[in-house]
Amino acid sequence: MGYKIKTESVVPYKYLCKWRLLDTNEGNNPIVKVAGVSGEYILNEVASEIWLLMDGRRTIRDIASIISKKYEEVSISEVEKDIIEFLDQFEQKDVIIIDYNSLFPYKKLNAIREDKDE
Amino acid sequence: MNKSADAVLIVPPSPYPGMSMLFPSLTTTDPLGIGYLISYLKKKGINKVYGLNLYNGLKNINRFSEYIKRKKTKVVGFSTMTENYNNGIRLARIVKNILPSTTVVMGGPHVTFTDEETLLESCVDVVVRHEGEITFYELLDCILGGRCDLSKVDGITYKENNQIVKNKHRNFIKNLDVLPFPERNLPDIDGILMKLKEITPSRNVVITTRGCPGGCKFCAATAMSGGTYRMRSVEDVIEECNYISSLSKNNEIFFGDDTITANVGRLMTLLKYLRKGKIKWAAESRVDVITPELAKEIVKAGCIGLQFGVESGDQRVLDRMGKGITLVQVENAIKYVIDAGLNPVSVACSFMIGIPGDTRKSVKKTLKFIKYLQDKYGIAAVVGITVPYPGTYIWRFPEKSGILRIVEQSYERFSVDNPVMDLENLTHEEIRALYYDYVVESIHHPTRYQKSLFQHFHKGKGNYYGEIQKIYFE
Repeated sequence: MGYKIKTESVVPYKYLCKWRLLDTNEGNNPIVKVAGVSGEYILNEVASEIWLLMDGRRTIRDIASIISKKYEEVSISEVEKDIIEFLDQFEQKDVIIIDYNSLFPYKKLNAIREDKDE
Repeated sequence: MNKSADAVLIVPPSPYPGMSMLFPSLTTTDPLGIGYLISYLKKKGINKVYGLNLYNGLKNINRFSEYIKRKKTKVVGFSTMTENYNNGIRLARIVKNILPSTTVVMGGPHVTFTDEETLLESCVDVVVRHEGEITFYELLDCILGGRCDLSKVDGITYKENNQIVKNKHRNFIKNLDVLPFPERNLPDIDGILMKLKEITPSRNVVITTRGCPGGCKFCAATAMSGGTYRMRSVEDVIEECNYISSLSKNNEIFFGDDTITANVGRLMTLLKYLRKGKIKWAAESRVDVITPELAKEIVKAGCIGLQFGVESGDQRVLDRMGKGITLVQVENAIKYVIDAGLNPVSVACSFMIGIPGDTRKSVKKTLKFIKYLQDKYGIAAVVGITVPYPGTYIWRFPEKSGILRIVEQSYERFSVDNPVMDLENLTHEEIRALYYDYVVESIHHPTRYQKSLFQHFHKGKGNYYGEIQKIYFE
């Protein structure tokens, strides 16, 4: 990513994508399937959990705090590291915006080349 | 030079991620609500009134603050729908912070039905309910005059001594021809809007009527207009169309009426006039008024696109929602307009998934009906999720409508791709899944219309979106 994220203030959010929960047996953790401009993805359990917590209001710290409380043996900073890794990966795929600002909700799409061609 | 203002009217940004970068021609249309207010105020002699169209985003909040400081305005008005209401509140707080004595007014379809809730926000002083031209003028006249008695301004709700006061309803404007043409090309703060318009001309929207006589339970138009239907004179409409065509590179008009076809006699007169000019136009229509004869007249009059609100492929759901159409009428209307010469890809039918009363089976019926219409006629389908917007019957009477609960508390998330209701027979996650599967199926098996949309997104194909991206991030 090349810069340090202020996890206490940065709000990640879903970007230009559709998503759904996969049908799972009762009692299982939900699994999320996402379709964005770069393709379709099935998230693992932890990524799905992060996905469901990204509501455009919670900061990375908020999300980390919720997950850390659930899995008591993991610290917030460790969870934050995992979240940032996930966010970075899915930001590249254009299905999330890391620093969502409702007044200017835009990011550069990696799927779009800016150079002139044809 | 004194740059202070009597009033600044603002459309707040849409919070929807990325929307304006993908569909700029739809999101850069002129906001006619504040456009009409500004032109009406100027007609009444209040000239120091400015508009800001921030719908496509506000990148630089400091520049917004500086603008407000510079204008030293006595009144700031925000016109919002449900999705950008929260952003309106965010900007209203900034305004109050900078100019504490400025009166902050909110108007538009959302706050018309949530006036008391809106006034719980300390940054909002007055809510203008329903159509705003005369109400806002009287309010402004009252405030600028310095001896303001808000109790005499019909159509507002306001705060007085920590109490919320709701004045009596203002009658709707009967003769719409008294309104001047709305002010257009309102700027934004960052200069993005005008650059977007340069590379993609936005739709020129003209409103020829106000209100809707229909009773669709998922739509707020009837409540917004009190069930009235008022029409501008055909001469006035044509004059505005010609005026717009003379100004714009794009001479296509979109008639943005709730329903332009409610009075067929008047529609025929309008078509007669349109036929004489060179204006190309599109509009929304109801299927139940389309006859083979009317379809021919519509196409002869320069129509290049029609959108029909179909909503469901299940007659039971349509009846329950008070839509007042049949599936046979839907197919007939499509057939008639295509036979009359309209390009099938310009015939769009809109549908909803997750209508109160929907079941898994009824949604499947809707999706099957869409596929049938697309395969047989090659039309475009626009599919979204039902949203219980304030003012709709389903919002006012959720239990009677079959809504178990609203699962989303933030108005920002009320959008047609995000389910916010659990229904009697479908949870919001089931609705989301049905919608997702439809969208993904469309991507894998696109219709001709969808192919034309998707081709823009392929990497390396032209640089249209690259240019848009540059505008946003340069």
